Amino acid sequence: MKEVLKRGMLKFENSFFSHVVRCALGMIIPLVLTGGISCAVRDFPVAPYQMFLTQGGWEMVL
Amino acid sequence: MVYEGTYGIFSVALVITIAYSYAMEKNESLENVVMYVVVALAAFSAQLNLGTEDFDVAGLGTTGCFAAMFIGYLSCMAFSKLRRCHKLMLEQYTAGMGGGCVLAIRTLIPLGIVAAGSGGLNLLIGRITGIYGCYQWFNHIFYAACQNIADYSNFLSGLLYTFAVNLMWFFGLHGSHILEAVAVHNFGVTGNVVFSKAFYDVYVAMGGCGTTVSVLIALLLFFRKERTGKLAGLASFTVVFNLNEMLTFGIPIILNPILLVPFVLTPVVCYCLAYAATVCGFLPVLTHEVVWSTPVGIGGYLASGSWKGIAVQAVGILAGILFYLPFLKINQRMEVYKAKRHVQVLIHELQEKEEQIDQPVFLTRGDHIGMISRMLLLDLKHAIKNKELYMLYQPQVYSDGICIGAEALLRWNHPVYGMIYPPLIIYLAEAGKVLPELEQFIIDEVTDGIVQTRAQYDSDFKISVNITAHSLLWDIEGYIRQTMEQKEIDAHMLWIEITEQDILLQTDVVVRKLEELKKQGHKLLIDDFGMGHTSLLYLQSEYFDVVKLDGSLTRPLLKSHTNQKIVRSIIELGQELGVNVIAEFVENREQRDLLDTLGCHCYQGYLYAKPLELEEFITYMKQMNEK
Repeated sequence: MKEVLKRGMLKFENSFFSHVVRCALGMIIPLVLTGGISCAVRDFPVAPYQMFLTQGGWEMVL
Repeated sequence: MVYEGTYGIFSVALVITIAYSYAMEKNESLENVVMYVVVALAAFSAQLNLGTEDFDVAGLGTTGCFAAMFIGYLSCMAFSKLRRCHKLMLEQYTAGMGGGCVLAIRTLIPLGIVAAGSGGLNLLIGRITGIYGCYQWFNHIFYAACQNIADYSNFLSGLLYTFAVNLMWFFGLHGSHILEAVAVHNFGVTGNVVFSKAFYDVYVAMGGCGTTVSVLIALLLFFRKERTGKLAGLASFTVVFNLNEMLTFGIPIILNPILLVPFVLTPVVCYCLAYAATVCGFLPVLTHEVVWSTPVGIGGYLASGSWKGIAVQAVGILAGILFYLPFLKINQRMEVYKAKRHVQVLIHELQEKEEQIDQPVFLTRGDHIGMISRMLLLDLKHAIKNKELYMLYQPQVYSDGICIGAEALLRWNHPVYGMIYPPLIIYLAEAGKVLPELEQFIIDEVTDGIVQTRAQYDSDFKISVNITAHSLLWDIEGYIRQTMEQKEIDAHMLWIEITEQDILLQTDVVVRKLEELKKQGHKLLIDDFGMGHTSLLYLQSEYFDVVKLDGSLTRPLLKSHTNQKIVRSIIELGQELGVNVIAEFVENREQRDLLDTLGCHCYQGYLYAKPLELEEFITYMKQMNEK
């Protein structure tokens, strides 16, 4: 059973589809991180900071 | 603006990267890679219902990611197959045209078929189901599958939601975005019941989907020296804010069957713990929103208004670490196994290129061979900098048993892949433009070896070192002269070997450099003689003092009469021109005796000694020459 599982995993790991999708997702990391960081900076839950963002118009940029 | 400019075009970017990766894995040229991207974008656009009232801009963002993956991959597959059909390539119309134009015309029909096929499929399914656009179908299916989960008890529906979201993430789908409507509609962002979207964000998705903060801590604690541990160090800042893409895509966790179980079940465990803590009254029911990107710890405090929220989060994270750990160990073992296999394939391909006397190109390849080559190059740079490579010395012995010295051989015992095939090291250094650094290291090591040997051995000896045609493109002779002067070594103690093929690569530069090395007093050897396109002109010239017979001539010598004749001719020619001959790969007495009969009296090979550490070589030389 262990061998069958191992073989199945290896087959999937080495499959063309798996290589393509993983590589594609890897390349998209900078885009996702930029968006995520922008979101984190925008939504950081501290009231004075949120006020600063709103008053300075920074919320729009983020 | 930034958020919309990134997450808002997520699906478009994904189609591009899928098409790019597909073409690179197929080892296509750059022009063809662009064509794959164009085709995939065309097929994806045909699914967006552009210009109709069914167009929804959300399809360009994270909501459409599964459709992007699906359409991107299928369109590339179809395009790849259609390109094989010569009738569709319009080759008869491309004679005499420029490169870009030829490609555009050849792509015309396959692109049209793929785009029309995608649009046709959209229309067909739209007519049948009333829903137009691939992302709309998928969202409809996912929503339909999950919309009734709130019909169960609050605990069970939360459990199903947690399971579904993380399962989707495992397949690279932004589960939280796809099921956001389900969550908001069925549970609300906050509410009077225990499970809500805020509850999920605070107590379950700690560090992002799959409770990846547990993965981060486990990697930092137990795999610090491994690739994944280093990646975790890099990703730690973002994971704190629940942004885990660097880990999920980098380890990778996405589509990694080994990590499927802990990735889907750890959030379930965390969910159960937090749910039980709330039902028991340890935690208050969450009645206010906490933004999903709030750091772990702060989120727990804001949600509960006390340390209790942090404590529940900590217990969940600890359980996650224990759950993830055995799977991460298996994943590490598997990663090493796979990488070793890729290195073996790389070495095999390099050996094939060597046999065909062909220039290998690995570093620029888009497939796993290219990836492992680039990874090895980075490791090589690190290894040169930290002096992790070393030299071994294989003795060279006369027929009367006198050891005249040794050939210095470069070795690299990679911490993960083990011993690396030496020609691969040289190839990586050449292609990665770190050959000067590598050769400076070799010259330093060998000259240090000569100094050490000289201190322990009174008589004359020499060490030979290999250089390549590319070595001659930097000031290697200047560096050798400077090092030899610094260490007060006589030039006759350092012999220089260059392969026969390399000599022919850069004729003018090579000749000038060889003259310079010769003037400095070094003896020059032609290595692997008989393997390449032998230029007898070089024998006739006065640069070379010694010829080393290639293993392809000496290994089958006993069985091959033709090889015997070739070897005899080379030896006779060498004698006529005053060039000595050394035979490599001498592995048994019969072979040695036959070489002796043919007129070759100096040998290197396992019959005498394998490549030795410097101290072993000095002892060996002393013993041989005392006899």
